Amino acid sequence: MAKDMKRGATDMPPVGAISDEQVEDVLTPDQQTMAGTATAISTSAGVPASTAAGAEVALTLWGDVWRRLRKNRLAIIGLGIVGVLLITAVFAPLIAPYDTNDQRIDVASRCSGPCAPTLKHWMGTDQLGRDQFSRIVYGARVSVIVGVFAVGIALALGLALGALSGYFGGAIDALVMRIADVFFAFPYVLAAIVLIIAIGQGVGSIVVAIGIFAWATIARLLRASILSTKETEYVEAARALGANHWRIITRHVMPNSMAPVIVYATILIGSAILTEAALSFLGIGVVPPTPAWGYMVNAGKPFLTTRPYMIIFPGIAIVFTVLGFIFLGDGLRDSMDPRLR
Amino acid sequence: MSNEDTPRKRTPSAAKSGARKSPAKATARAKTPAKAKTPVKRGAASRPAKSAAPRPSIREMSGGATVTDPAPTQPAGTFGEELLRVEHLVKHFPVLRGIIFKSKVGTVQAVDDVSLSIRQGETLGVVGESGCGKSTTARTVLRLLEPTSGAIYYNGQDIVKFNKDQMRRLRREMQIIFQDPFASLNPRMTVRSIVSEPLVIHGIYEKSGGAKYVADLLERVGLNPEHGNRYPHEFSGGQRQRIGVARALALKPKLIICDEPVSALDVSVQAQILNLLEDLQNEFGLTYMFIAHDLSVVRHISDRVAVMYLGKVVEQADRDTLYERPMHPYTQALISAVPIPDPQKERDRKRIILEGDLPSPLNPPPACRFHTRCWKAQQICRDVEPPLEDHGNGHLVACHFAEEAKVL
Repeated sequence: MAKDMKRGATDMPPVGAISDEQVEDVLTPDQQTMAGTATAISTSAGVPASTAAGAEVALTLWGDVWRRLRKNRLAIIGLGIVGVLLITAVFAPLIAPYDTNDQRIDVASRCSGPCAPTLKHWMGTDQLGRDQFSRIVYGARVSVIVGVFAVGIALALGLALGALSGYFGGAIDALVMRIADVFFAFPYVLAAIVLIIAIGQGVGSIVVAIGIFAWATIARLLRASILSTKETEYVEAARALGANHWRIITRHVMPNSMAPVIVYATILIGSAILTEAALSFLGIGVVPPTPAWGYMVNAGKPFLTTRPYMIIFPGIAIVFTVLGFIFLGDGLRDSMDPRLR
Repeated sequence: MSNEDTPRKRTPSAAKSGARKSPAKATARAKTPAKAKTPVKRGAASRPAKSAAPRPSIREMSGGATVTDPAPTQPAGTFGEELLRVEHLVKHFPVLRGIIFKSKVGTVQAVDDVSLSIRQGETLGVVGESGCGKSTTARTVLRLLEPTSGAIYYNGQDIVKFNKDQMRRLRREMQIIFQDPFASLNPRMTVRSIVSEPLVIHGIYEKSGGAKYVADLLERVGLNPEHGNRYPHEFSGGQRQRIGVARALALKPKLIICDEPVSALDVSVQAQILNLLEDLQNEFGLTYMFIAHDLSVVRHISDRVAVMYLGKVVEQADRDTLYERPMHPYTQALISAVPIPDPQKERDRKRIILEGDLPSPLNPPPACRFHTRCWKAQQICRDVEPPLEDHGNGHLVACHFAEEAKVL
């Protein structure tokens, strides 16, 4: 029986020698050399680490995530797509061969509308003779801006309200969650349309509309995550040390509650880009001369059967971008979920 | 648990036990009537004196020669002033139903009228089954949970009435060591930042010596200070518990509440941590409230022991009295389950096996909470709650039929 063994262990060393010597004995190998230390720890850590798999966590959050993400092929593909998108958006003037608003009536009239892809315009031109490839390259800018800023707004609102709600609970929690319920009750795109009509068309409006309607999910996710984190013993230890709420939230609760939010935010960027495309397709998104993928799909609509390349290329851009973010988000989920470790 | 190893066990803390002249309780609760008859009983139940009895005064008392009561007036031996006194502490958790319109459907009586006291430099062991309120008591004493009612006196001041600011300052005086060394350390912080956090919180990091002090602390608890940049998961359970000890020690507290600090560790590692805790106690004059469910561990480290059952203290006495002459049937049953490392004795002694399960603290039995499982239970146990009474020399028992028994 454990108690018996324990007693035995306690009583084993000779009288008087128990305290200092014993402690020292156990630790000297540790303290001698760094090399000795490493082995000592790895061997002694073996048992507890395997019994509590969930507790074996990150070096730093990102270092550990990256180690596991690297092994996930789909996530790396997603990361690649996202990387290409960002590079395209940032260096659009260097990549695009033509001016996006360079209307070539001669080209358009020669093809009587959009031209098919050629070597010069390898994604073709639109009904106004503008180079499709250049427009898709510049369209990446709109997508990135909408994705980043809309999710930025959603994160700012969602993290602040979710943290308040989850950490403090009670009346604050009830209030925030009921407001979130109201936002959940709106049909997302419909609400965005109403908002855009109210505050006017443009990239800014789309960003605000998406940001305002996406925070609720983030707040809920963070709240749920905090509810479990705030009950942990290290948070209790921090309270026992006299840490104030701000310190507990920023140093202890948030870093250990962020994983699901980071995953969701990544996927949300893709979904925001998709929403922007949908709004632009409906004609209430980006204001026309600005190249945007959804708007380009809309422009190609009349030529769907005759000149499908009008829709195919911006469509592919949308699909791949969104997929890229979803793959990345999925990969992050796998590498951040402690249960899958 | 044979007699022979008891003195040896305590030898490491020779300074402590040597200084421990009179363990007699300084409580005013001692009642002379009870005293008057106990010596007789004591004499009968008295065991052969140990070769190196650390508590001669008890021996003398049990001899029945004198009934002079040293307790009420005389200050309690070596352990200085009373550091912590818990009076009638109650912690009830409401059980709610509903999401928006919450209604109370019950109360978990986690801690119900618990009174304890700990003197400077003393170790009070608290034992009991899972769910008997040990940890809740600990957390309430630290005001990590707000008590439902009752008073907690620290250095004579009722800290239940303390405001946030006073509480913050008090946190430097009392700390806690947790049970699970895997859950009690923030996985996203390095060991150095975990151990220095208490200093940073109280704005004394620079004043206390900064990195050098933290390194010294790590070294003192038996860790390599060069490992300060590592994360908790890189350490074994015992090493992590040392980190937890270093964190609790950083503010140089007077009182450390150890909430089952060794229960989650391997048996061999348990001994190391216990030794460390004892050494630190001697070095820094710490006072411990040591919670555990392992009776051997508690016997090893405690000066006095309180036994809890379903949110109440059923028996409280100094260590040797409690283990050698338990009076409450529940304590007797608990101690009879401690294995004796002598097969001959182990075979001969009688095990008391309790019937039934621990009742729910949601709906505890009326009057004496132990009556549902007690072999001595009479009608009075179901009708009248037995008060925690002094049965001589600070041996507090809450039982109508308290009677010494030799079960070890």
